Amino acid sequence: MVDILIGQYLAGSSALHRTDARVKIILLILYAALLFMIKKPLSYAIFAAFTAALTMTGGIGFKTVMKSIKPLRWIIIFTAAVNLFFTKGEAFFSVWKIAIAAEGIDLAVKMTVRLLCLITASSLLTLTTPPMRLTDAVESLLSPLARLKVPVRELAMMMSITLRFIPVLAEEADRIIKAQTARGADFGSGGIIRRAKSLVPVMLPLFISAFKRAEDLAAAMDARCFISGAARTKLCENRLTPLDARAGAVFVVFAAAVMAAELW
Amino acid sequence: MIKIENLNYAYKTGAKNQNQALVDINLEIADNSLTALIGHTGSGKSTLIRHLNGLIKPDSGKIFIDGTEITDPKTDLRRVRFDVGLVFQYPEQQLFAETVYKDIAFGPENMKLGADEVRRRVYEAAEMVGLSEKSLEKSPFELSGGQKRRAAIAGVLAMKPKNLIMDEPAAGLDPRGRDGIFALIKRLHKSGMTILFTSHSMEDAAKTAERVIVMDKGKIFAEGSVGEIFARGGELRKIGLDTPQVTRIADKLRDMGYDIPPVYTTAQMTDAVKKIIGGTNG
Repeated sequence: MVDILIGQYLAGSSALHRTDARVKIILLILYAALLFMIKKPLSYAIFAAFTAALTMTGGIGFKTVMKSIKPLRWIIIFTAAVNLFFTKGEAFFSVWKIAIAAEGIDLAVKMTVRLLCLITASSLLTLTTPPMRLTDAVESLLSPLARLKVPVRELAMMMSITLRFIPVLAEEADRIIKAQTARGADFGSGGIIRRAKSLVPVMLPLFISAFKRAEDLAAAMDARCFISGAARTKLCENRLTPLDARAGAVFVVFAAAVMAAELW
Repeated sequence: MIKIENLNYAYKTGAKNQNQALVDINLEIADNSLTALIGHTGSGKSTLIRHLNGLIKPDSGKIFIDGTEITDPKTDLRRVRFDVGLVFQYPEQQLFAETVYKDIAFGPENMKLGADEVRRRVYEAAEMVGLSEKSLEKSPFELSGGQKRRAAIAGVLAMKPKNLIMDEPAAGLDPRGRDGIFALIKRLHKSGMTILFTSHSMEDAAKTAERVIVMDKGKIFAEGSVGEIFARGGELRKIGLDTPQVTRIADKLRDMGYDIPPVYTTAQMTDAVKKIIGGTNG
């Protein structure tokens, strides 16, 4: 029914899959920061090549990558268009009253490459990391904040529960939509108010069931003596391996290449 | 009449993976019949019945409802849905309106019927399922479990479908609620409806239905009258199903030398046992 981006994990055993989730998150943040500092075309080329190489390492197909890009296509097109038409500079060519500056073309292409790289790299993170590992990693990375009384464990728990219930609720929504369709409900036609109204028979039962599930889950957690804030050990202890060191080294080489390209 | 020809359907679970849910289904369900569709979880029962009003489109094959091919892309599926009422499993989970009345009226209103006709149908449907006029003004969430179930069924009945299809109509109800639902099904059948319900209770199928269709691994495993199907206990056990409990007891008694005919319901068993006791006494 819906293509859900979160939790789109593709099982695999590539080096990208085996790298520690915390390392992947940190490297992704550095990658994004670097991506927004570069200016030279050569740096963009290095970025694109590196991203493509990562995708291949992860064994992720071109089609899967396109699927993550597709929902954001309008943002990419809009950004490119804004840069193309509204960048001031010497007219490269003009049609009627619209003048397009060389700087505009330059910026539009760079922005597009930038967005494509960023979307691909971040979807590589979710494609190669199971959701539970991801929340574990977030918890581990945010754990220093626990000293400032930020409820990190609870936040991570909420995040994993949310991820856990997205497919359940999606399936439920599908079932309710089918049941109301069987009673002649029509979701696709009419003005905006009619369409919004037609969603009531779906949203209401969905909310009720979500609340009921939340209650049941709370009772089940209570029954198993869940205590908020209690210190717990993990089933899978995350330990850094030589592979993570290698991942870091690869990134350092890549970052050095980009810097060299910038300074050259 | 519902007619299914060479129906195939697979769930797509990924780019390359798929899960063959229905394999070459051929079926005919006669007008004014009462059929139970049995099979264990995952045998394809629910998937099959969702095809019957066009909620799922088959990969190949044809479905005819009273001669209209609903698998033809030109068929107006909304019309079909008013002719083939489908009651989902746990239908009370789809109640949404402020009052029971408004919830039951949802279907007829979607049919664009006049206010008077809607009103008439709501009262008629409520009466059929045994909901009092007072409960029509209540919020559906104030009703008991069994009443909620009946209110949800009334929502489908108010569309006056010729064919009624129910997915596990008694699932999760207490014995009284269960008896109430099957009594309702028999009443509806007597009033002229064609009814098909799924179940994984052999007892419910034997007690209520005239005909039984057995599904296994997406295929029709067997089809026939209650007697014909439950005479094949060995085969049913092989696919993880069974005969009703009383049938097994009767089989045991027969092995022990008692003269007992095949029975499928408690009522038949009572008669048979009475005959034996009467015979030995007199």
